[in-house]
Amino acid sequence: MRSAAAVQEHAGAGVQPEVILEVKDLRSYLFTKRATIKAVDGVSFYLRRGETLGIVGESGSGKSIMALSLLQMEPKPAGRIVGGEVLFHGDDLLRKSQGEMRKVRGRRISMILQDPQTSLNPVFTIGNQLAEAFVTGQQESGRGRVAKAVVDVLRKVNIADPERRVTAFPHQLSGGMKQRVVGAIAISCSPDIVIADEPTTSLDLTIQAQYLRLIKQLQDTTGVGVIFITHDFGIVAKMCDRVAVMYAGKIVEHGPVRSLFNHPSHPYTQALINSVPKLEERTERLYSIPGQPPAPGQELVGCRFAARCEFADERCRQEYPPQFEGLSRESEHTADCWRLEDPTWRPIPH
Amino acid sequence: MLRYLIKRLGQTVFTLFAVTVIVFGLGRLTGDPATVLMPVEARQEDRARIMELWGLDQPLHVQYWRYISNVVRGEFGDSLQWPGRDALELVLLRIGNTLELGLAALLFAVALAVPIGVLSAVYKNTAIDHAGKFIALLGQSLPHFWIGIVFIWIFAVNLRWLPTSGRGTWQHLVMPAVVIGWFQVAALMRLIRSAMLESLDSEYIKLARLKGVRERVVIWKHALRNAAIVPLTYFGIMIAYLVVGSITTEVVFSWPGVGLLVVNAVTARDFPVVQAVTIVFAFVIVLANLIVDILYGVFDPRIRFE
Amino acid sequence: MSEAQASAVGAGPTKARLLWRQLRELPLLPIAIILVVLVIPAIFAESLAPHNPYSGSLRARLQPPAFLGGPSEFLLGTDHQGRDVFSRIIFGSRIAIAVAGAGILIGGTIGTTLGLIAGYFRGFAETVVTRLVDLTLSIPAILVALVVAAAIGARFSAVVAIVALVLWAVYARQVRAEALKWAQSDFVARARVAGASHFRIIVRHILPNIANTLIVLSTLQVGFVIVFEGSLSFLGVGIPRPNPAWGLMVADGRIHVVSAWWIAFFPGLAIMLTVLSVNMLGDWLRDRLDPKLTQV
Repeated sequence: MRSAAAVQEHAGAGVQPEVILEVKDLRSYLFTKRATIKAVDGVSFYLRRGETLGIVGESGSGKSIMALSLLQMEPKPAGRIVGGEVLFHGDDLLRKSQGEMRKVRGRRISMILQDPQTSLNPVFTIGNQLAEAFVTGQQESGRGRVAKAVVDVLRKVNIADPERRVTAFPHQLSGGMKQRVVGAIAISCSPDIVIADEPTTSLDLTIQAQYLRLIKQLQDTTGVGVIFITHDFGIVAKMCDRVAVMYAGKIVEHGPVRSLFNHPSHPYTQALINSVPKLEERTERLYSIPGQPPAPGQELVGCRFAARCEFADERCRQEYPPQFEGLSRESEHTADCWRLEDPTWRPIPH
Repeated sequence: MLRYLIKRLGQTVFTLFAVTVIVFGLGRLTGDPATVLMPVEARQEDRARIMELWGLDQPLHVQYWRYISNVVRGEFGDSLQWPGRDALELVLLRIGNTLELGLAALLFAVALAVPIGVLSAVYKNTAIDHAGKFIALLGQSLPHFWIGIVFIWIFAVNLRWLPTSGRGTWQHLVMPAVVIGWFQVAALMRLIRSAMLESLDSEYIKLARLKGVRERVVIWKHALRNAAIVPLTYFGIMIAYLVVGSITTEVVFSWPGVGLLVVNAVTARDFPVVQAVTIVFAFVIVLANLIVDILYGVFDPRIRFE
Repeated sequence: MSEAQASAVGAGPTKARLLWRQLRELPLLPIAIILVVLVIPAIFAESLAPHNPYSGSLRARLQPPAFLGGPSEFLLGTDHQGRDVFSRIIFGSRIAIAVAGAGILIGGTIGTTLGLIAGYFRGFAETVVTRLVDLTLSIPAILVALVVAAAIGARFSAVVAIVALVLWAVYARQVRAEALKWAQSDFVARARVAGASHFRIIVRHILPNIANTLIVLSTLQVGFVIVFEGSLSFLGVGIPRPNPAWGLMVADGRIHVVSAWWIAFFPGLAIMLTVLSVNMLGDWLRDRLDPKLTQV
């Protein structure tokens, strides 16, 4: 967890660092023959320079589609961004052409995908794929300089003996190493933001911790901002400065990590926190949230979580709740829940 | 990689062996190989020589042994049409021509199938895709012998752009190569299309795009390089089809290859030549398959570095 | 809210409407061509053909088609023996269907049977069958036909036999793969537990499931057989003269292509149209019934 002092240091002058990414009411739908799936249904958040924002949600909450939509890479042919703004340094990415977006991708904003087994092209060496990242991002030119840059970045991601590894094919590397290479590709052009979409989910548990440490290390040295997408609240606690909780295409709660953990204000957040097994406690059973997320394509009104929420009433089912701010005296802590009309209310389970 | 090679080699040997058995059996179908292997008007000493060579008065297994040792030594006897000319020699003289035609056809097929296949995949379900499918389907439905004649009539007789028949300049090669090659375009293009579709759908393509790589490079470098491995396995079958196609096509265009040779030999009941051609063809096909499999191993890094 | 598993699509259309919609999606052009060029002439040859396909008068030889200025009784002209090309093509369709039908029936039956045995019983039977299939498919059929013809001459039965010899392997390979898959399924296991005999399981449970594959495969093979028979006849090792096999007609017409191109052109066109239509139908069927069928 980065200390406030570290954040100050990067920003200078004792104020919060500038906001470099602002997402406003992003809507990205999937249009299939059978139904229209509102995968991302009005999502808003922001990211400051150098900070780590966690996006948490179950699978199917729309996190991955949202991440891809930020770079206009929504899955074709069904996906289409239907509304909202993605302001990167004040510039709306959604208004850019594909040609302009290509200059952003990899260079200003890069992404790490979930499964290292399939992320790398099996027929090209990792040296080749890294070199391409440098050349495409116009960071380097000339065989010699590119080759050196490749070796350097491999060293930065803690791959031993990088000179030899450069000629290796992906299938010759372990899963953890592959994911490091993917990480290397992501930071090769010194981007402002790295979007990490469940980067450790496919890795062995023992390797996960190593990889998370690597991400933090890279952040400390380069000051890059990270959007960390995960379903694991435990990782959020370790890695993130702020966190946004996503459910059925909407962000239901959002705020600094400490504040969220100490005062979870949305019933779903509380449930998620409960489901993280704590080593110190002895629990009889693992807690899991009863019920299912809404079926994709289903037309919904009202709060999306109402069906599974023990605090829901008729109004919750009919009307989508407004956003309540300033929870637990943190200006940045917000949540969308009708119960919060009562400022002292907390989603304590019975 | 070595284990893979050895396995393939073993299969090759087995197939060749089986082919010789089949040809041997077919040759003795009528029950009396003497009628098959010797013309009615053969002289007494020729008869004796042929009886000696094939052991025709011996029991079957002795015959087969004699047969195999002959084949291995390349001894097929003399042609019945041209006594005094060794059957195998006749075949080997012309095999180069047939291979030349086959290669040209292969190049044509690949040159046509790759762009059509890639574009069909990239522009899936659009007019381009349907047009590509139709061109391919058309090629597959055109009988070689007919379209060859039609081509001759259009391009040689009427337009006078190309020669009617025979071998000589590259112009002689064009029509027969196109006729044979077009047939293969359909299957090849379908393979490339589906391989491309799968490749384009993969995570590594997504990552390449996320790197900011230009779409043209994504398609023709990243996706195609992966997709290209798939049709390679079809090359083996394709070579067999090229051989088959060359037979009728050589007849239509009077191309002096092995196909024309064998058809004439069949009409003239020149069994030694027919036998020689069959074994050589089988050998070429099997060998080509082996080479293709080796190439496959070379091109797929996952097999090369095991 | 949890009972709202309501499907996103409203109440479905009536059964009749669905059927009509499906019928409209049939590939009508290919089917029409197949009927017109292959099926109807084969059945009604005697009524449809204006002339006898076997006899011609030398006075009427090499006449151009009626629409090109020739005598009006010969729609597509006459060949070098004065025979009416149109009538010969009509009767030729019978030969094409006969060879294709017989070949596919025999080859398909043998191949399916062996494929089922190989896929269901596995073990030694499977090894033998797969080896035989590989071997058969690695030897070009035309070569076999040529060798046989060199030995015993061209005849109808030989053509059918060779076709069957090639097709059985194609069927066996496909059926074996499918049988393998179905043999592992749940209801087969249940039937086995219930004590059903192997034969009963294969016929009652596995066979109906591979019916789609068989239909698609057979349709796709028709085209191949017609071209193959055409090639054999063209080379003189298929259907013997003077039968009006389309391939034979093309061969005869080849020598006259400069002066009388119609002799070779129209029979070949018949082959091409038939095969193209059959292939299109086969493709369409495959997309509907069995998209997994890998085809080359």
